[in-house]
Amino acid sequence: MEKKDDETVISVKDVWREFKTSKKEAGLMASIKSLVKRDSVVENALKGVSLEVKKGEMVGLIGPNGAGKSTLIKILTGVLFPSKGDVHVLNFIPWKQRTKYVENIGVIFGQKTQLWWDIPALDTFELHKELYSIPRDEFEKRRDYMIKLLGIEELVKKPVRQLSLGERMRCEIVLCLLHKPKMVFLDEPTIGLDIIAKDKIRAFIKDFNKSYKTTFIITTHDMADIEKLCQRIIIINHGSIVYDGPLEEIRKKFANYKIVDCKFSEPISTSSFSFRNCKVLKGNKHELLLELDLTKAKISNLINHLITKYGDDIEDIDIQEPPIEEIIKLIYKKK
Amino acid sequence: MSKFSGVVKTSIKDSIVYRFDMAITLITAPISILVFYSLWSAIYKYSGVDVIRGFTLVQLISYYVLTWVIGIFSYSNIEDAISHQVRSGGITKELLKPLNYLVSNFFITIGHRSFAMFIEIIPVFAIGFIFFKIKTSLTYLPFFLLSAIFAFILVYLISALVGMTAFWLVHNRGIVKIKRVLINFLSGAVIPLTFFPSWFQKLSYILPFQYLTFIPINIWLGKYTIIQTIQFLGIQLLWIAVFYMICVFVWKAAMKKVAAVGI
Repeated sequence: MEKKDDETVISVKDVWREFKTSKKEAGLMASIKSLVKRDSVVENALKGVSLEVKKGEMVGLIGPNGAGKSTLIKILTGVLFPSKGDVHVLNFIPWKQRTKYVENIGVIFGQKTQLWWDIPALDTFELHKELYSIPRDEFEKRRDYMIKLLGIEELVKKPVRQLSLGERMRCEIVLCLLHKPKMVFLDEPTIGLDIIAKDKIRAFIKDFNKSYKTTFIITTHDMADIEKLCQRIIIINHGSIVYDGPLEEIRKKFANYKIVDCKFSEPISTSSFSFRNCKVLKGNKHELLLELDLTKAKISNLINHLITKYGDDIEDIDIQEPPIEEIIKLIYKKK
Repeated sequence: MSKFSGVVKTSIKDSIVYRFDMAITLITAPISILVFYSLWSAIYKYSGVDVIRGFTLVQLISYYVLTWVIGIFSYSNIEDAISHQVRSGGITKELLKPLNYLVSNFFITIGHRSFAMFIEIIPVFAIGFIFFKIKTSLTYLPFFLLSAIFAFILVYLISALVGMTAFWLVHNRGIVKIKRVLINFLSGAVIPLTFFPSWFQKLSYILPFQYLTFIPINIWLGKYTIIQTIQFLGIQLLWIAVFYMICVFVWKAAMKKVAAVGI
């Protein structure tokens, strides 16, 4: 018997999704031919995807464009059905019970707005109160709390078309969460926002997740979103899940190395430098940039060696982890 | 259900933003009516008869003013809205709302038209009544109102059907244009159906489109008996039932296609 807090909210089992696209070659003759006969090719956007998400998790879903992220999200939100496999979200089969199912979820699609354009956001909030049957007291309390937290008291009174992107996104977040959905899908929630707006929104999402144990699935290309919000990340590439686990573990699994940047106060010859399992990325009279394979060597040994060899001429040694973007890039590039 | 009243209320708030756009009708309608009036006054005078194709001059002018009234009353942009949503991909977010898209849009249209009552419809009727001396039957007013509401629903259902071709054709502006022109003639919105050759009249009597304009207006002009009027109202309801079922069927097919192909 599972504890209530550990309940599984998303269950995806061996999901496949194929698309038929018509193949057309370039050229006038081919275009004319395609009016009569179309060659179709079957491509798989998702190949045997399986995953489970528990209540209250904040999961980042990343992958290069065309990897299958949107297809997966569309299946989870009930807009698409899989060619094969089982999907259950909040005990619903999304595409089969869509109208009832969507009362329990909130969605933000980056650029596309759900707010009525010519009237104040407050009016769309009112509409959602009716659409989702939110009791008046609860609605006003939550609405006012969220508006205060995001600092949009004056903005919600202006027609939405007069708001900047950052201002509008803050209103969208409120709209999305007004009905206290159990599950929220965010697609590029901080796109195009300045750093302050990004921080505000991230803090807000975290706060909401803590208060209500809302499960968040966040699709984004912004690694800072992932690092600041998600304990767990799922990487999709070429229709399959290539990684599903904590963020820190990615380094260990895919890029277990450290970058050592050694700067010298006096010009010094570094052409003779060598250390086992250590790659010289850049070596000149002023700097030695090294990459150490942590699976085969210890960082302390390398530092020791540098100090022994160059001693007083060292001005600075900077030890860095590979930036998460670089690691993700490597993963994306794999076939 | 409060879901629907919520949509109507929000839609009225939205319409208020467009009040000046809507008010332009108060300039275009009188001009158009004046042209029609001048033309047909001359025709009646020159031909020396009182009745042409079953209409006296007063009845014909009244008919024309009422085509404006009922035209604005039943106007819906659902056909453009659907194809816009399909082309932009915005249809996805519409499917994530806890209310059927066509139903929701129906109530949005009600909201818009309710506002239009005050800005366009009643003023245009008043202009016709005061400046062009149109005559309508008080007795048949309640029947007309019912018939107009039925016409409104029918227009919506037909427009929704035409709009849904966007799911298969994406670029369906050609079809929408053809539909508009055909229905304009077949409904009697350009000129009463009795002015057309008999083969055209026969065609329009079996089609549903005369119930959008010609029949409702004639009801208010008192051209039918009570029995005939009630019969026409019954046939309007039948056509509503037919188109409703077709819409449900086509919508289901469209949703299947969306969920299978992702638009």
